[in-house]
Amino acid sequence: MIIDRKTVDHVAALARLGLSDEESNRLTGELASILEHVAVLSRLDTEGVDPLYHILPIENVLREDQSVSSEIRDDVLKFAPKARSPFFAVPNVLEE
Amino acid sequence: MIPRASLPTVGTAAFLSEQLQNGDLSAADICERYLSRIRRLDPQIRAFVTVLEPDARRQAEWVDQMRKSGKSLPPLAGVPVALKDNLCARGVETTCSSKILRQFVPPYDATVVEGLRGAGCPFLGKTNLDEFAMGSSTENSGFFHTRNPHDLDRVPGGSSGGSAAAVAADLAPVSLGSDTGGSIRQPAAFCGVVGLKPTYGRVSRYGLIAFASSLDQIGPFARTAQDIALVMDVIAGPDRRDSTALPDPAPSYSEALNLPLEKIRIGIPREYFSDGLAEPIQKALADLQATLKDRGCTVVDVTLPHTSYAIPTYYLIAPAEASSNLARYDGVRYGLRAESKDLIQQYLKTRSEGFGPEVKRRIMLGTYALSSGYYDAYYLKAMKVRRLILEDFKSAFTRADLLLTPTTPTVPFKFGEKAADPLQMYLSDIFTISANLAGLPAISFPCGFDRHLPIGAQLIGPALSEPRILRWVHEYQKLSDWHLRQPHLSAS
Repeated sequence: MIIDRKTVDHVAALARLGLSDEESNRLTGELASILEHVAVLSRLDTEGVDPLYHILPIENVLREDQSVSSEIRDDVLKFAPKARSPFFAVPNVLEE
Repeated sequence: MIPRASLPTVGTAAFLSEQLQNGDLSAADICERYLSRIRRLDPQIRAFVTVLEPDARRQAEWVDQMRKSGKSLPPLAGVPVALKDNLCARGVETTCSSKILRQFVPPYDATVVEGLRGAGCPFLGKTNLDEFAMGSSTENSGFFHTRNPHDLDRVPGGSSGGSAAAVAADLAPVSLGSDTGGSIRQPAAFCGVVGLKPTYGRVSRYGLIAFASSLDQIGPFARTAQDIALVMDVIAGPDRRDSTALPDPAPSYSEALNLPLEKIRIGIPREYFSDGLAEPIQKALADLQATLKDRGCTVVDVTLPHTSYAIPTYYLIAPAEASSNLARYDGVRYGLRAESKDLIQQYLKTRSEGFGPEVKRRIMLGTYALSSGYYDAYYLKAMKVRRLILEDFKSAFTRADLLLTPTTPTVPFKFGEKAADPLQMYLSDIFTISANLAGLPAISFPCGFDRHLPIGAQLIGPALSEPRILRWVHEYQKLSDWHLRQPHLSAS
């Protein structure tokens, strides 16, 4: 239940958030108080209750795979931060 | 008894539609009227992130040409709308009021946007929201605050604060918002307009930028139930591009308003009327109850015993889903990129610079709740309690046809009043969150004023009971004029 600075740093790394020292310290306190508030759930008996993942009684929808052209590739690339058509460009991820 | 409403001269979609069909007004005239009001009044309200002045004009002129050529047009053709800025519109910057999506121009329309475009609705602009729809006051917008037209020192509610304020200030006759925990109904109540959150799956979410996918639902704002019905007639229905959209066709909501009035049982959930409820709100709800009784409703007491668990449940489920949905903002394909030579560093930097404090807080909370070792204690537990909350409603609906509650525990609060404490802000959604967890349709509509500040009532119904809900709000609006009260605004 205790959330400390070390946990906050670990979670931030999982979430790929680069937090400043000040942000991490503030979040440690804020998350602790929110988690304290939600702790009330742990005292509720849910023995034998099925989790409700989805509220609708609808079933999965299946269809044949079909290839269709969306014809928006150029528009998508036009607004990308960096592109080398037909690709998005990113920093090097492989060792030279 | 409240005086009988007089017909508004302008400002409702139904009235504009009639004028357009009679040929008394052109779409271009109407469009110009709203654009000029936006130019004059929006500098103080700040409902709009983007105003689409040339586009709207072009759409309106096109509608006028079509009509002149003798084409029969849908009812809303020429009636302008405003769109919450988390709805994708082709070729129009769609920001979610976040720095991370500034300059994002989607190459496609959301299904609801495509529907309204096809129906001939000119788009006046995109409205402000709490960043990624996370908040209850629009103070979390990454750009600026939107003000409540009824009191410029107070918040319009959120997260669809811009869409609610736009209708309240008569900057648009109707608008669209999205509701994940009350983001349509709470700002509707704060701004004195009507806002409907439809049944989960009734309106396609395709093209709505995802926050919490099992809770998000798009819905309209308007001044009247009749206008809400007109918009629902366009946006509700199946969609092959959203597998959670319900497969059966939607009914005609407008026609439902003309059906004979059913004698229904109105349930009053006792958990929603605690001592903490502001006195003027209690009084307004009591008057509303009396009016409904006069019109033949039976009022019964019901109980929703797990109500106090709704907020804790929501603040695990919604951040968990958000942390997953917002993983896509990595600076690679669209939006902001904070350049770095190393890809991981680029992710960290982009997300750190692009997201505001509330979004970071929820991503952290959600990532924590889903992380190894905590999943069962938090996320799984919340999913179980979610079922108990749904079961509460099912059992209440064996005794009542619709439930009546206040929409909010207080009237609109002042800027900064709750911004410092995230938990206090979360608690302002206490009456709206359960309907999202249970996927139920719910509406907020004006039922009184505390001095100059609007009070909203909420009706919650069983899944797909929108026609009955709208029928009753329509009936109430024939007997009241709260929804026609205009804020006093003058150009600054």
